[in-house]
Amino acid sequence: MRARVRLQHSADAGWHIDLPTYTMIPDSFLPLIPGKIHKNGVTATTNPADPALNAMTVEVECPDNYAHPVTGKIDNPRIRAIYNGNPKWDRPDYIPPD
Amino acid sequence: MNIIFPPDPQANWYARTVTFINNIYNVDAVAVHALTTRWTYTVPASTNAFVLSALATIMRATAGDLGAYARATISVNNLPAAALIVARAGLGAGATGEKDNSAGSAGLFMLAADTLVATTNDPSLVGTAHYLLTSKIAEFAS
Repeated sequence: MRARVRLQHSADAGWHIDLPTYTMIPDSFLPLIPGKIHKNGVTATTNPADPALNAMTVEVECPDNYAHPVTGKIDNPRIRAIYNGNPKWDRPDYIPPD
Repeated sequence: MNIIFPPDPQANWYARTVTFINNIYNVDAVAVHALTTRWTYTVPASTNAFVLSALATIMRATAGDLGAYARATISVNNLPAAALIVARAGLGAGATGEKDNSAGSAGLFMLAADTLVATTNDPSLVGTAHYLLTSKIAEFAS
């Protein structure tokens, strides 16, 4: 399934999506902000805490079985079932990106 | 003479079901950027996976600044251990056409919850680079 989702930042993974399996779609970063966000990433000189990055999204391809059958959105219970027992993904407080 | 056709294939104890998973990030002229995870693959529960191939390639499309560097890396994270680099291509200078590539040299066995991660990083101030990060994975029930 394809979805447009928000990015997160951490020291080890850099800018990433909070999903177990995904592929970023090229040229799909939005919004484009000169000097900060271009179509394939965030410049290294931009502070990750910059409020301008809060609305940043990117398109990703992720497994079809992540989707809720009715809403079509990425679904927490489905991800928990697929990665049952995984300390990172099988958590009730895990909120998939939207 | 009777010709007897065999029945449809039946499941046997030795039946194997494998799912192949391909990951690719193949983009020309990517502008300078902070560390970004382009794709990940996490082995589902009750499943094992074997990485059949992994390749990281990078090439300068337009010149970076002096002392620039850019990297394309594929690594595996085994819970709870730290990352193991599978393939890494890097550029140390900024000239157009400079390139590097790195292929994973051996098959890599992954257990449930292990993760294969592909990242790119180009903290230069100017310039663009072409990246190719790809892998093929065979996934099967454990």
